[in-house]
Amino acid sequence: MTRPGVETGGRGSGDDASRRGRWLVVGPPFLWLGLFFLLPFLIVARMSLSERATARPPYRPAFAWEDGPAGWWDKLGQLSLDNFVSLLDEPLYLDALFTSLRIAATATLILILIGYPIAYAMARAPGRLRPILVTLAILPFWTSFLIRVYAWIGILKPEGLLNAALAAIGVIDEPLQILDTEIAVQIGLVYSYLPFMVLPIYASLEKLDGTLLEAAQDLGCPPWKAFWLVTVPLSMPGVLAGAFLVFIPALGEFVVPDLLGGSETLMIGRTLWSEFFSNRDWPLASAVAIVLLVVILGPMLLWRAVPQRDAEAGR
Amino acid sequence: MTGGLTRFNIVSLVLGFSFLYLPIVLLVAFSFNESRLVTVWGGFSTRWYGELFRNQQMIDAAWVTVRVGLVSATVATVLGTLAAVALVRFQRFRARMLFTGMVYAPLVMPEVITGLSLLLLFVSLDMDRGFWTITIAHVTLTMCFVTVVVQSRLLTFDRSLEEAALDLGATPLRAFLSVTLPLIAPAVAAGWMLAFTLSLDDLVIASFTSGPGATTLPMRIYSQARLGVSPEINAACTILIGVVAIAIVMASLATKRGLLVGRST
Amino acid sequence: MMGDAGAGNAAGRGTGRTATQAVGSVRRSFAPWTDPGAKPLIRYEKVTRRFGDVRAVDGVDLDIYEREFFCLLGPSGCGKTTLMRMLAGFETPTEGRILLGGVDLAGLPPYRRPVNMMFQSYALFPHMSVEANVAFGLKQDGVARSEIQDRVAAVLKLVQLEGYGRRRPDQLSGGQRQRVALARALVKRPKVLLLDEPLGALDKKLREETQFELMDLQVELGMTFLVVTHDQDEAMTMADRIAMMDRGRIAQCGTPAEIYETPATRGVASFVGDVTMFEGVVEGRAGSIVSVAGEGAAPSVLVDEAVSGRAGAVAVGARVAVAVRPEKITLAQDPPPPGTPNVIEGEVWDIGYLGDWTVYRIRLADGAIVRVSRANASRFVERPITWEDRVWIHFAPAAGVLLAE
Repeated sequence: MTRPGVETGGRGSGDDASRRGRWLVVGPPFLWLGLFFLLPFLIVARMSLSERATARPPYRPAFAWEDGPAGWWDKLGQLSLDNFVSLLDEPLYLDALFTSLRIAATATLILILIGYPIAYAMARAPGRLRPILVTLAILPFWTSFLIRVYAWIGILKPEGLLNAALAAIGVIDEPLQILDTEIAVQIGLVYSYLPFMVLPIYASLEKLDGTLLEAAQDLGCPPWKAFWLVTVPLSMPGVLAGAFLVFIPALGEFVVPDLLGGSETLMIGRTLWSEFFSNRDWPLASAVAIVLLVVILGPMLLWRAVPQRDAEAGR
Repeated sequence: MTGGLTRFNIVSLVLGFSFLYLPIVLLVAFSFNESRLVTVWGGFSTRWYGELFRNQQMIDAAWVTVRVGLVSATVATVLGTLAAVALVRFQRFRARMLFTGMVYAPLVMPEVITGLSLLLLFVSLDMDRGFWTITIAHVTLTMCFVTVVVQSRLLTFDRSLEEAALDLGATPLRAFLSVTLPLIAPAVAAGWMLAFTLSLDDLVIASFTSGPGATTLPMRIYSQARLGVSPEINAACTILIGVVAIAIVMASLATKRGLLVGRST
Repeated sequence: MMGDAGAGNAAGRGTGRTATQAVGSVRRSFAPWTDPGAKPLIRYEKVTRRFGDVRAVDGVDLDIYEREFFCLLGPSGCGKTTLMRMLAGFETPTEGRILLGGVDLAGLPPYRRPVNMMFQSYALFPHMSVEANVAFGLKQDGVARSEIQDRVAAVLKLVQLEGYGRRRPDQLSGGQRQRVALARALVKRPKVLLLDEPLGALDKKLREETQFELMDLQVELGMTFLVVTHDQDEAMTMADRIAMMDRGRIAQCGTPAEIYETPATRGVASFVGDVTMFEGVVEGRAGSIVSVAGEGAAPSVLVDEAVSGRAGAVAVGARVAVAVRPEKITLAQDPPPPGTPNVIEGEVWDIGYLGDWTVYRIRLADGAIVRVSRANASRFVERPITWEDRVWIHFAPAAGVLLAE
């Protein structure tokens, strides 16, 4: 049967009324996103190419409509990559970028190691228990991110609960300095993003056909080997999905390093914030934003390629 | 996947969920602590809640937050649902690529960049920053989440139901209102809930786009949290958690009842 | 089968005859397609629908007459559903036009077309009761509330679902849901009722019962039915005429008997019923009898081309096939008398016992397999045919059909 699902757009294509109806649907979100997402982004791009002095707030736009084409051409000559060059010159920004990459990558790795066993146990749990476990894993997502990070300050600070507990059981004599270190940032990231890692892995494990493992064992594979040869490869899409879901937001994270990392952990999101609010160097901050975007775009393009591969493998 | 739980599985579950919930439980518990010190239990007390309700700044911030949340979630739900319908139903239209990109990009865009770019926009438009700029920013951020939620429901939606309505003489608009919308209503409601909680939670974008006189609760909590832990903030957090928890329970009850009506036997 | 009083009401057409009489007499005399003066209700004119590079429907010309029970038959992907959906307005022809009662339907959206469709999935609105589902179409037309109630009640009675009005679709059995879908499409009294695989979701027994119910209903209501199906038995049982579709084109259009007895192409012959094809080259003709020479060890056969009414259509030397139905081949355990046409020797390769029939697969010298079926009319057989028996098959020249395509 010809069921042209992909072609549904073809209906009434010559019809003016339906075309108008369509634009009533597409139009509002399109205009909204164009005005409040695309346009601001273009402004950032332009700002990153503006000179620092002229752009000090209240800044003069590098392009203005009233300038006309001749004026634009003139301004084009004033555009400069100075901001990007100064990013390279000042080790502060590069350091922040590399620190962010390192911290996000480490957090992702730790999350896989912690999240996989949890997801695996959830998938093996009896059927009527599973929805409860899934709800339990999702619930923290609905509570404020800020609050969940804030909760750790009370636990990690020198006179906090963790030190008190450790001292009480006699493990330590002096309080450990955890808050305001990179370790605290890692704990905060792992804690905040754990559901994002657990849920995709769980989803791929839950789909896994139990008879595949039985077949592997039937063909002479001991359980642990069947796990490595069947379960792990088949749950890789979930692991990858989780890794991307965690790595990308962790890279630009602001709240966690700001509240838990103290002054010594410089992550790029925080650098941007302080460049913007404290130094008020907007062109430079815009340049930092552009660089951060480019860094994120890389894994994103990879990510786009992954689902297609999976779809092919699934066939 | 099936199979019983091994001891290792049980340990993973217990440790994992304790890790997820213990900090929140501690936070809630210490909001009822008589003592100002976090580590010392000074007895049960609701004194910090009392102080919280006498703190006019907190009350104002909470009011701003709720208003921003209600307005932005509602606008975002309308726009997000429209976008989802567009993405699922119209396979080909001019600028579809651009549209798809704009819908998904805010999902992965770091909040700092979204906030920064919106601030630059509002500055260049010479808009007074405050309630409305935060609301606009939150609509932009949260409508994409609404789209994702509604879209996933629309994708599993039996298209022939809509065709049947058209076949029986309903115009596209009436077919949408009388058949599609009632059936995707749970997803739309979930989208609204998600948008509302995201707006309630947001610190970064609100900080960029707010102006004098419009401080949201997360901004207030953040500025105090930077100074250290105080039981008063614990109390504020507990209330926030409570509100969200009640909303979730109500939402799940509503959808359960909806399901019961849909397939009661 | 269906209540006759309600049927008369719903159709707005009173008849004193009982359902069975009506079916018989109407069926016997109904053949508007043979009348050159008859105006078709539906006319497809050179209709093509392309999806990208694929021609789902390719230059179809088709006339369907009022009160006809018409089946579009064909394998999946042959374009039959697309052809029907273009009439409903869910697809737009890339080329050509579709006329309903002489009016071009182009530009008319689905909701303004006087046709209704019963969907393959039934597409019952899950959030509405049976009554609300059936009333939906009338409400869109702004029919008065009291009239809606009456018509819904009448049509529910017609499909034997009285008392089910308050239920929801998911509280009904598959057969009941099918009836609701039918009632919902019928209640608007469309000029044409479109049925997309109407019985596809029912189990075998129910399907057979429902086939006859649909036929009775169609005659009772005097409505035009256009059915899409991939099930040849269904099409043969129900249809006045069948259009057999293959790769977007209409391979043959005719009555069930024409399609079965004189298929026009190899595709039609093999899709409808079982068939054996003897491939070969036209060697010569004597009157209407054509002799077809098989190559190598393949047998040569004689065929009467007058049967198909396409005499003289093939030239000597053309490559052709002779299609023979299994029940038209005689199976003998002894060599038939000399002079019997089309005698071929073979070996019993397989036997399939079906109860009423037994199907034999006979292997010929060149390795080809011929299907022969015999009715098991007698309980006792003196010399039963068994595996590896040497047998002779033969058939009359008029039993075969000469196929050029």
